[in-house]
Amino acid sequence: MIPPPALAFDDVRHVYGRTPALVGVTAALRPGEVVALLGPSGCGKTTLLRIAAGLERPTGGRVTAGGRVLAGDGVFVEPETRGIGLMFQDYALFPHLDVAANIGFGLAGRSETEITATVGDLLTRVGLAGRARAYPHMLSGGEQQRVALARALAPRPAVLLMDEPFSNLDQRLRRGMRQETIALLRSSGAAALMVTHDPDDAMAVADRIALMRGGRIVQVGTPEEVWRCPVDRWAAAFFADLEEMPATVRHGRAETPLGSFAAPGLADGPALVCLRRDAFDLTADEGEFAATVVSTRFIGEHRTVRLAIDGLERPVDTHVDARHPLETGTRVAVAIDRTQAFVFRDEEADPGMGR
Amino acid sequence: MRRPRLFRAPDGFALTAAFTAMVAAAPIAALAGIALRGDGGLWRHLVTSVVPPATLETAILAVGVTVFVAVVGTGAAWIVATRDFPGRRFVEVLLLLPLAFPAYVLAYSWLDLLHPLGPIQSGLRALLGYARPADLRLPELRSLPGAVLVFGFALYPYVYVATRTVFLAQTTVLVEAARMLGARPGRVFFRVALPLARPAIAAGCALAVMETLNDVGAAEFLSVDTLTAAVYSTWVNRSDLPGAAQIALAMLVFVLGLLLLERIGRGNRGYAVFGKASRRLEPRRVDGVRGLALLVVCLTPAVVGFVLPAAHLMRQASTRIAFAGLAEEIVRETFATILLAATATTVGVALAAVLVSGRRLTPGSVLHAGALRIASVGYAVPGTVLAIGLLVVYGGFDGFVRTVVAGLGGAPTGLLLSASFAGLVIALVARFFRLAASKIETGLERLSPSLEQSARMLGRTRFGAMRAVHLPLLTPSYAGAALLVFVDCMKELPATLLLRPLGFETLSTRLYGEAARGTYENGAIAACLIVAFGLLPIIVMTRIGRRTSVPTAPEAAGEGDTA
Repeated sequence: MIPPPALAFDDVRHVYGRTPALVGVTAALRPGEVVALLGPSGCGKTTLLRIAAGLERPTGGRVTAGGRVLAGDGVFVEPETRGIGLMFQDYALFPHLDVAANIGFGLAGRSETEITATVGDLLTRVGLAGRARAYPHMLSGGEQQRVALARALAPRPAVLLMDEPFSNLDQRLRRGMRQETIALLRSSGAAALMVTHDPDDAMAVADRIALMRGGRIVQVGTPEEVWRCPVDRWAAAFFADLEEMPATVRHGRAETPLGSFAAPGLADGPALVCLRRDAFDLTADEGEFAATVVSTRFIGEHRTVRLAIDGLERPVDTHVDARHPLETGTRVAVAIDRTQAFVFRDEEADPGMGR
Repeated sequence: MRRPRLFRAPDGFALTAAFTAMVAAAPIAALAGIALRGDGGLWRHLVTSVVPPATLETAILAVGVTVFVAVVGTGAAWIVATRDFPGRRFVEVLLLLPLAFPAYVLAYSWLDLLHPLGPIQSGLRALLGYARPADLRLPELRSLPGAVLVFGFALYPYVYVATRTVFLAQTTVLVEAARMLGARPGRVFFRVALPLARPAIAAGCALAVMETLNDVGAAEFLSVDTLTAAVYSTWVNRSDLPGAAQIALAMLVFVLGLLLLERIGRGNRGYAVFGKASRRLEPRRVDGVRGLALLVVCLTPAVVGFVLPAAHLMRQASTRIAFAGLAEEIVRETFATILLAATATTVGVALAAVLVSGRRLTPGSVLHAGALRIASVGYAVPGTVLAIGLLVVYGGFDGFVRTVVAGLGGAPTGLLLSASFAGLVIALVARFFRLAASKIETGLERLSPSLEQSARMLGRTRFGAMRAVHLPLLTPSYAGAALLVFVDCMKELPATLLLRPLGFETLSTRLYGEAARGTYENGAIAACLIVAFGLLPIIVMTRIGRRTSVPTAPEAAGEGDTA
């Protein structure tokens, strides 16, 4: 028997005034699974999160958790009785309560000894055992994030919602916190839905990624699936910069000045071939095309290179290993990794390209 | 690196600041001086017979008013912010309106309303079938509990306004966080919202108590012997300036004690609420009988504090006008009041603008920061205390000028500042400078200092930077400050009463005189006009509030991305 999803949205719609924010979202979280809700600003991901939390009433559709209806069918369960945890973007720690009282806040009604034990255990697990009596304003950003996570997990919710959990941390801290967060989530067994606009966050933490745009989910898959098989040009561009070139599809192959690419299932006509930056290989023994280095810059792990490929109108950007010496004006040979290419129908007005 | 200089060559900013601070500090210094000089016998008389009962009555009144405004103001704000019941939008605004009623006008109206021959007692008698007024005995309004109620209904909006802001915006996320952690409404209120609103409640209560201590009319109408009343009668009835100054000093100690208590109460917890405060809390819908009950609960303070007395005043005023026409004095007094208020407002806002900009343009200057502080002191001092201090200062000044001029062979100069229009203007400016300064400061805080710094880098002097950057950008703040000061000057009673030139009447002194004589109906027109002017800033306030509180599309409603 398949257990009911930890959290499920069924054709959830939402409208602010007259502005539609969600236009029919259907998705589900399996128990213990971590799903990232990924999308640009204003795509509706935070609205979906707040609807799951019960802080917003959906205009239509149904939200269930473990088979229990939370919203829809004339039912609306208030947030305090949903048993769902939420970690706020700005952490929302109670400034008038110390760390221990913040973490213990959701344990009201349990015995004093149980509260003390749970709080102590969580404090140890997030590495803040010595800071129980500190007030939130005395904590660093990373410590506040840990307290927020511990507080949300203390009542042992079956589902934890996280709103941009890493956005207030600097790059270096972020990497460490992703590891810690995922470890704590796994040990708690809670399913988690994480809202983020950062593909790196999503890739680093999530079991599956749900890509959102314009109030709907456009693709769901493992990090590898959404990276390797983006559903459209926008989805491909959301994860990493692309080089695009116009092509013509004929008999299932897209013809470009850089040769032909497999375009299975695409109708004949104009198309776009999109190449990831690392599709260009300057170190291959046998280059297919001759090119000139227009400019180059050393940026640490990589060296960025702008290439003018013979027969191509616009220069392309790529990068090589930083140890690879290159000078402006050098003639090089370029090979192209055709598995790193995506072919899409050429839609002149793609609404999602405002990134 | 050069060390920051504490003192610079004096310029216009520094001179204005120093002068304003000196004038503002003079009455307090004079009070201290005269109180120290008063003869011992008088002191003993005051300490043994006047001050203790007055202090006790004042303390009971202050505590009663504090409890009342804290409970009513916070309760109403919480209900209105978190519950959606029929008529909520209407009540939300209506609850602000008692702000338009100075306590003495409210006391005046309610005394008339509850008069044995007034509408309420007559109506009750008719309802119950009593013939004679003596048959129906209501609790006397002229009592300490009565005064607590009158002050409470007049002043609860200070707490309502302060806490509503907290509940509407600042605690939104924390309330949501509490609910996500399973907290029921009661726990959300007592464990999260109330502690977070504590500074706002304390600030609102402090304002209400200050107003209570400042009042001279209402306490007198309601036969409560407060310290203010003691100061006033010591001077007016016994012409005993040192005695009045001593009681005034006692009041000052009282006020300082209050401010200190508020500081201590805060402790060392953090109250700064993190994060942005953009989204409004989604109120919970309450329909049916419970919704109606909430409406009635929220309507009560507004009806007692505004609707009933305002309606009564308007009826009385129109009866009066229909009977005797619009008296010439009322027209003259209205113009006199406007002239006085406008003059004081112009001077006060101009000085506040210069001092606030001067401080901002001279970072790290002890002189500017200190001058702004000292110039603001008049707002914390009850009007009676300030007036007594100024009486002393003016007397000294006039005497000094007379001596100097006589020494030079000139004619006797008479009263220059004492009982003069100029002296009254100085008093009002000293009293309300703080209002203007804090309003302008709030506006200035929203401007990035880099604006005026770039003006300075492009070759402007400090005055040039103020003119090129602050003046145009702060126009709304100056206007807001002017409105607040203007209305408060119009309503001002104690200082005006004590310092006005002979025969000079404003609307407030007219009302006071009529009430003192017991001729209530004549004061109704003056009262109506005071309340009408008092409504102006409230109207502006709610209009601004509406403009900013309307959520704009989904962004305002919660897309918290910081891409």
